[in-house]
Amino acid sequence: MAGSVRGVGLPLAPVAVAVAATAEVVGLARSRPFTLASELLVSAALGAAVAVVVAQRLATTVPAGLGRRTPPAGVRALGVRWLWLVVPVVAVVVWEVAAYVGVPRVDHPTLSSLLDAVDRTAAGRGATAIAWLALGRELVTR
Amino acid sequence: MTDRDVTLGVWIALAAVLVAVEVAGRRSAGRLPVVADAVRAVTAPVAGRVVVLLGWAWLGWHVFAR
Repeated sequence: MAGSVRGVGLPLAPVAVAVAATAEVVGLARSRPFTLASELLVSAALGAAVAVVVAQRLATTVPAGLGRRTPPAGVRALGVRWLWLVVPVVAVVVWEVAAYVGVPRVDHPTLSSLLDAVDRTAAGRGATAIAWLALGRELVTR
Repeated sequence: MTDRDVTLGVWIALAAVLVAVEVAGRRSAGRLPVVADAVRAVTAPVAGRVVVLLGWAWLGWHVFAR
């Protein structure tokens, strides 16, 4: 049957996406930075994101992928209450900069160096890869 | 207490604050913003979506490739 996995009846596109995503996560988990493999794997994910956005624009008269949307009225009406979210985020940025200019790095860990500790194992890199790909999927399909 | 202890302690405190802010926002029934509201507001204009996607691309490159 066209468009399905033969003999199983599964729709082809979701299966292909699942297989590709699994291969991407496993590849990223096993790869090391500063290698051609890691660059190719990250480039593949970026290419897939661009392809999704372009396909959305071609498929709709009102672009979904990169079209302008109006935020919900509730979001626009928040006004000064945005400070509730902005202040702690600014605090994170300030502390990141403070840690970044501090030396040695071992005494002043940045978010990057903390993530490096997680990424020392294949399981940690795999979990980070899943989170990064899920975030990308959310950004290009919402 | 070492500099490392202080730095890590502040990171942990900031993480706790961010979680508390998100939880409180979700329980406020729309009176306080949550992260999803911020993402919706930032990505409403095309330029905002492009910037956010470029940030996502940079993050992946920084974490996995460089």
